[in-house]
Amino acid sequence: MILRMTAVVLALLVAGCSEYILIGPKEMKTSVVFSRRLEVIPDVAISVHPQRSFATIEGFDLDTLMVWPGIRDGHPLSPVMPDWPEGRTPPFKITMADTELVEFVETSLRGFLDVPVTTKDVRPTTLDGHPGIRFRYAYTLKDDKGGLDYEGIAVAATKKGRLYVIAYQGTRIYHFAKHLKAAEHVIATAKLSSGKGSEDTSDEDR
Amino acid sequence: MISRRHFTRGLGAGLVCGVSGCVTTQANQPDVPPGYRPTDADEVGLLRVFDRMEEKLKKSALHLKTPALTAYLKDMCCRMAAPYCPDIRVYVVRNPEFNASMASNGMMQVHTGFLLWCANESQVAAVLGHELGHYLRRHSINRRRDIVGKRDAAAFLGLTGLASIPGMSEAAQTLIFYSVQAYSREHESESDAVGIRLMARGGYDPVEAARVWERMIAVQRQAGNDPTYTKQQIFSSTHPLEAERMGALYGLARGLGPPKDPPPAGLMEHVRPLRGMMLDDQVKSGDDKTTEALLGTILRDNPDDVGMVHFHMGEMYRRRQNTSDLGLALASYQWALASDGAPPETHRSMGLVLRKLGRQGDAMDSFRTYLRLRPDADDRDVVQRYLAEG
Repeated sequence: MILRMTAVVLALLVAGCSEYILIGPKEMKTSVVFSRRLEVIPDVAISVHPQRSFATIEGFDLDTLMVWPGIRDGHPLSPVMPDWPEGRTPPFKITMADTELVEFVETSLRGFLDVPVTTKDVRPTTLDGHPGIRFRYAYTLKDDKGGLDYEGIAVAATKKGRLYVIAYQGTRIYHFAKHLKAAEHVIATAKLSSGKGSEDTSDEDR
Repeated sequence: MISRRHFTRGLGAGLVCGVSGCVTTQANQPDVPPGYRPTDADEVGLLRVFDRMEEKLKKSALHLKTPALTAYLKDMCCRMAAPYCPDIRVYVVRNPEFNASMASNGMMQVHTGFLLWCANESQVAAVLGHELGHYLRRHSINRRRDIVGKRDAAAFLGLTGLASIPGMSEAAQTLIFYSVQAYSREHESESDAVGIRLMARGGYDPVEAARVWERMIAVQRQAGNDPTYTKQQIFSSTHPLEAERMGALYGLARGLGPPKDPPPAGLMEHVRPLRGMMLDDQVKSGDDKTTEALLGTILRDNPDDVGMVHFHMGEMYRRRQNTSDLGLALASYQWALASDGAPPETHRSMGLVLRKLGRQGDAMDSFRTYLRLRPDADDRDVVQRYLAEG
């Protein structure tokens, strides 16, 4: 009986550990991690969430790299809760101008964080050679969620009608600045692909 | 004839109510005196929790450091409850929700969303007076004691073995939940009654306390939301029905009568510096139906900064990214520019809409006007790219 229980506990522990995938510097392409539509090569060790859209160096509450590879027209950036008003996390539209992409990302972040998000330093940029937009953002979590201040950068570009977004954020007091260089490296190495060979499902889009 | 199940449920309910009733009676205390500092351990503990919250709030970026607006709101509180003026500290919090709160340590939080919803200073005073009512009647500690008392009653049932009687535990838990919520609704009604008297004392028009709710109900109805609760919600809600509150407040206002002198009317002057941000937060809430109804109400009731309100109405239409809304967005921007208070961003947004409508020349003119009016625009490089693209 004890042996069986020990086995169950061990299995649970192993399952818990397998939640995160550690990727060492330059060990492998992370296309496996960020879906087949966006490859990046980090130059530091990062832990990647199994949902393949988030990565971190020190912890998700401290620094987070968020990747949305290939959002299709009419799809939101994040899952929509049934009780949210229609416009809380709006869908991406291919007709969006660059400044509207900033609004789209900002509104989406605001929607799932449920706090005001401010943007600044809106600049034209390229992502893997595709014209896009880059901006900084900031927000403060509500008191019951820790009340921490966060800063972030986001880069968005479209390719063949799909939207690609990479955002990096960290605590304003320390982590944002600490890992900004690593995040910039990730953005600079990003390769967008059309996702050939992958299933064209909403889950894959996430 | 009564069934055994009904009997055991009744017995459990009676026991729970008996014990919690004692707690409630004991907790009902008169208004706090000015400068009140508690000595009971539980109340001292609660105040320490609020003190810690206040320290965090002071440093939070969501706390807007707006000395003029904060002083104005504090002055309103002092008008209504002068002896307590030194005990009250007001914080303006950036939050688009219609809300204000007051903790028993004197920390009052006023949401920017609430200030946007109010039509005049008397309406703001009505809600601040309501919050002062919670403070004066010590509702925080009374509610905490009520919950603790009812929890103890439930524990008592468990100890005596009564909870093992079929149906007893469930009945007791259900009753405790509804009893706690009913107690909260009782507090809200009491604070409404205290608040309206305070606002009358401060020289405000008491009837505006009812109109706050009337306005909210009207906006919700216009937005297609049902401002009434289901039967179940009536018992589980922490607040009374909005229509019920409105009716009760109209009754109280009739009793108090109108103010002798015109009530103070400084709301617009004091919120103007934040109005753009407040409207922006409302638009970005994503609740377009409420936003459309609210902005329509503001345009009807408040003649100030009409251009800014029309601009945000246009933003709401444009952000939907529907071709059918482009005309509405353009019309709103044109209204905005024909009125006072339209920000330079109106030209940029109009340019985006005109571009989508295929009016490239007009769009370029709008972008150029935007950059001329806002030479230090944060998105200058992007707009210049639009101009280069033609």
